[in-house]
Amino acid sequence: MSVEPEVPIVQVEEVRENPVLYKIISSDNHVFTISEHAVKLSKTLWDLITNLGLTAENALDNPIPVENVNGKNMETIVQFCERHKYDEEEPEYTNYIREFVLPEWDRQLLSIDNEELFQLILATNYLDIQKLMDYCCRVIGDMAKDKTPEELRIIYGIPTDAEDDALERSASDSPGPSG
Amino acid sequence: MPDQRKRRQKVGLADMPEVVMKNILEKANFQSILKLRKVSRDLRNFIDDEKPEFHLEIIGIHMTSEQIKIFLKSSENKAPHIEYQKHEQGCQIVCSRRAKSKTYLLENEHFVEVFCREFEQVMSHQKTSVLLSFSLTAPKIPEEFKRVLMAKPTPIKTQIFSMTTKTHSQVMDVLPHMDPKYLKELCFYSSPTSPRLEKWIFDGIVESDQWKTAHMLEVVQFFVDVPLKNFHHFSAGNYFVNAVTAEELFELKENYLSSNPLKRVFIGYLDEEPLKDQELHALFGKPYFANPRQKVDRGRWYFRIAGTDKAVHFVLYFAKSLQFSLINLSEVPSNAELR
Repeated sequence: MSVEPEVPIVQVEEVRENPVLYKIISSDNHVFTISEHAVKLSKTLWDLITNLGLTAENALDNPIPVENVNGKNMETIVQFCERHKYDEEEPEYTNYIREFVLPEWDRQLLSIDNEELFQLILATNYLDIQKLMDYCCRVIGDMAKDKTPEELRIIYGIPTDAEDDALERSASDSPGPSG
Repeated sequence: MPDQRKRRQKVGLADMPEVVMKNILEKANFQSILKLRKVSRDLRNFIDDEKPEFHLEIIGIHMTSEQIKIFLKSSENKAPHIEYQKHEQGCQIVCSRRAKSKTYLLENEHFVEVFCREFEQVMSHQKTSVLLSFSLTAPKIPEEFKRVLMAKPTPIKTQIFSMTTKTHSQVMDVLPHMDPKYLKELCFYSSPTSPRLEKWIFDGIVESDQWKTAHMLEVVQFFVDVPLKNFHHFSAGNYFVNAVTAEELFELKENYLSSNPLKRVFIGYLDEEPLKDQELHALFGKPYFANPRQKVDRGRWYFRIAGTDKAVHFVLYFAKSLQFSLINLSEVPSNAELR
């Protein structure tokens, strides 16, 4: 697979000396570099890297294609992982709602359109980044505050029961995989 | 979870995988969860199956023979009050939140039963997280409520348990349903209609794990009729007991010097058998008076805690009360004897 890096490569500020960098290609052919500590936050990517046997020497020559995640989401994800790569492990919360406060930087990062946020969650789920998942879910959970069920239906893009029934009917009318 | 095959143009909550949905509900407050339940059938079924935690901080229940009021609070400040009232046609429910309130009527329903059903529902979403406080005010515990507590698969996890009731016999209907593992503080009060300065029999209560694991106690509206040795493990407290003897006080002091930590304990006593100064002085030594010509108390004593820079400060007041507190050695008056 040959990819022309026609889109800008996201350069990431690196504070520690001699970082190992990996190259990731999104579904729409955007290329990202990400440091070793950051990429470890994604269980999926790190498993892939270990399985492919990528090392400091050959990492940049072997870009990793991620076909389920587009460039926009990947950019957010790379930013998040670089930001949090040296984080200490989060404490066990006995009451997440009470004890956990979303840092301002992350709140800003996740201040995006609701549908974009749901897209980001799907990408995060695929890449298995627990911390980002927790943060996104917190933002989604917080959205429900002080809203009526009607407002929530719109915010969360949930069809009404009637729409759901109609969808189900049209799905059962159309021939299924078995004909 | 909602069927993934349904094709929609926009990605929304219904497209989230089950693991994501659980995570979102885990981080939503209880009002949001209850509202999400009303959004669609799929969500309601999911929430009812999964029972996401409500993460409540405070549950307060106030029962009378005419109504039951419940107060639920999570970390946000806008906590609702729900009242289940006796009504000639059934049960009237009034939900109040800030200045707004809504009233519903459930015909042919008994208010205690409706309350118990809803309490059970709330508690099924409060299984793993620990409350700061669970308080119950009820002159008499209704049978239905006892049954709900008995049927609860897991005990209530709370740091503070506070109960206001008419007599000691009601306490053991509720106290055993608190998880001793998380209990820190016990508070018992008597209902306004109970006789003042009554003696309460705490025999069964002091044997309970809940009593033994808590380390703070407040009992100030009646006198607990059990020996003082049952109170040794409380590091902080404000309680009234039936009687204290010089020996019991000596044992309590020794207990703070050797095994159990002390912050501050204030004890009132009924003094049917007067506490004699000479018995006290024989055990504790000569008391210290800040101003011997104008005594403001029956004496003070200071005891060094071995291996620390702290001391136990014991004051006996005139008004049938006394206090043990932990102080720094530097706070001990220079002319007082440090034992």
